[in-house]
Amino acid sequence: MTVASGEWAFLVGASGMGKTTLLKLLYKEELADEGRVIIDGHDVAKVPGSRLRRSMGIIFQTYRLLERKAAFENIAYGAEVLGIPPAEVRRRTEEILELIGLRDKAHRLPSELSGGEQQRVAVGRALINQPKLIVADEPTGDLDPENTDRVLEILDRVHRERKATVLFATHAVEVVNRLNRRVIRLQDGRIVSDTTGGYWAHQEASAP
Amino acid sequence: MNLWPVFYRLRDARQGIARNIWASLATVVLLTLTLLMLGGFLWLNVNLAQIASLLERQVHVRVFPAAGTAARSLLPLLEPLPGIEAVELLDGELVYQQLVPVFGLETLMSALPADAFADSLSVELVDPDKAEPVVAHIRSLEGVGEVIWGQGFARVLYQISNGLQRGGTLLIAGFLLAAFLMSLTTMHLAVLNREVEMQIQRWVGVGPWGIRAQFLIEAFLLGLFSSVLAGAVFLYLGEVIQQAIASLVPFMAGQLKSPGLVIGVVLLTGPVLALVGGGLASHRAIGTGDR
Repeated sequence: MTVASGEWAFLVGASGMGKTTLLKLLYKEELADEGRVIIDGHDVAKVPGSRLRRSMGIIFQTYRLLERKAAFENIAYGAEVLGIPPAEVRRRTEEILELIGLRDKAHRLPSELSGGEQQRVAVGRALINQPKLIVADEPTGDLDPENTDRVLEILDRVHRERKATVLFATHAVEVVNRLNRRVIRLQDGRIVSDTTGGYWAHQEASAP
Repeated sequence: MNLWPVFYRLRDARQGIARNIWASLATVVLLTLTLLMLGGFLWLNVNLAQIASLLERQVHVRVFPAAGTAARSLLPLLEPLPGIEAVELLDGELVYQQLVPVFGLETLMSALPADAFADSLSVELVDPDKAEPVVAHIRSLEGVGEVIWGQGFARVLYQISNGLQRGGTLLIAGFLLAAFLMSLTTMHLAVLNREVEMQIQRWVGVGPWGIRAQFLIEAFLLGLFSSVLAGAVFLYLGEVIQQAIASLVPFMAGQLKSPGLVIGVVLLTGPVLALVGGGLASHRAIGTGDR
């Protein structure tokens, strides 16, 4: 399977079919028993995990925010830990807050935000280091349709404006059908279809 | 050189200590106590060894006559003995006078009557390393009362020093172990408290040593704080003890070793101990491999 730079691909399939495992192979949370994973010409097995992940933005279903830090600080933290100077961190964070539509809630703690807003903060944190590859593992799994739309809009904007590659795992057919993009369906750890365009019936996207 | 990572980690370490304040305080208290004990033990040992060594170098033996015997009458008995270089008669009144400039006449008179010191003999040995048989010989002479020799005291001091070393080393080792376990537990708590931070750092591409740095800095700060505290207490107490000794026994004042070296050891031990604790606690959670 090859995903071109700047492409958006959905990974679909029911739970346990291998979507998360495939993404974990990309950010080196797991190592492949067989075959090779190549990112930007580099064999993942031979590149230090930290270097690999520095060019990625990773988003999960769970938000994993720092409870004692406000939205602004949560987003900034992703850049600070890489040693980016404070002025640059501030500039990037303000830009991200604008992008995710939470400028007016920048100083609220996660407990003062809704689930959708918390996920947008998590998305913002993943985008703070301007990743070339966005790996999203069921990021809309816990969100209502309205917040799902907002997260998809944010990612779509980054994909279009920054030419970021997006790999988006989901088992929700309605998420896939919101965007007319490439869809790779997995079943029992194998790719069973790889198509672009068209709408997916529920059975096709998530049935084993 | 980019120093921002250090700045951010110092900030995070400060926040981490604040978040874990009771465990951090317990570590600091235990570590400070341990370092104070370690410093006190080292200083005492160094000074006992120093005084013993001074006494050991003494070549003079004081011989006091038995009751009813004149010191002068022992002179011809001692002079021909093997191992004796010279014998001098010490007038008790003269000894008293010699102490006047050291203690002051008023203090001396209030403590001792003018005839407190009997006449005695000062015996100079040929070889201070072979004092024991000579002293035994002198003691066996008729008319000889008490025989005082510096090396005898030195032996007692060495025995005390050895006893201190055995008992003290065990005690200090126990406290060092307890302080180490405490810092390990505190840092383990810190690691558990910051599981989410660690995950985020990993996701954005911080290497294992970068993640560990935060915990190492936190441990170093706890150790340094304990060391500085113990060092300051020790510096103050050392000064007080030296002044007390100087006023009580003026001629001993210059003989005590300065606590400088001991403070250096204390300042080094705290951070090293805490760093090892922090290193081990974070190693279990993070490891060193960059997967």
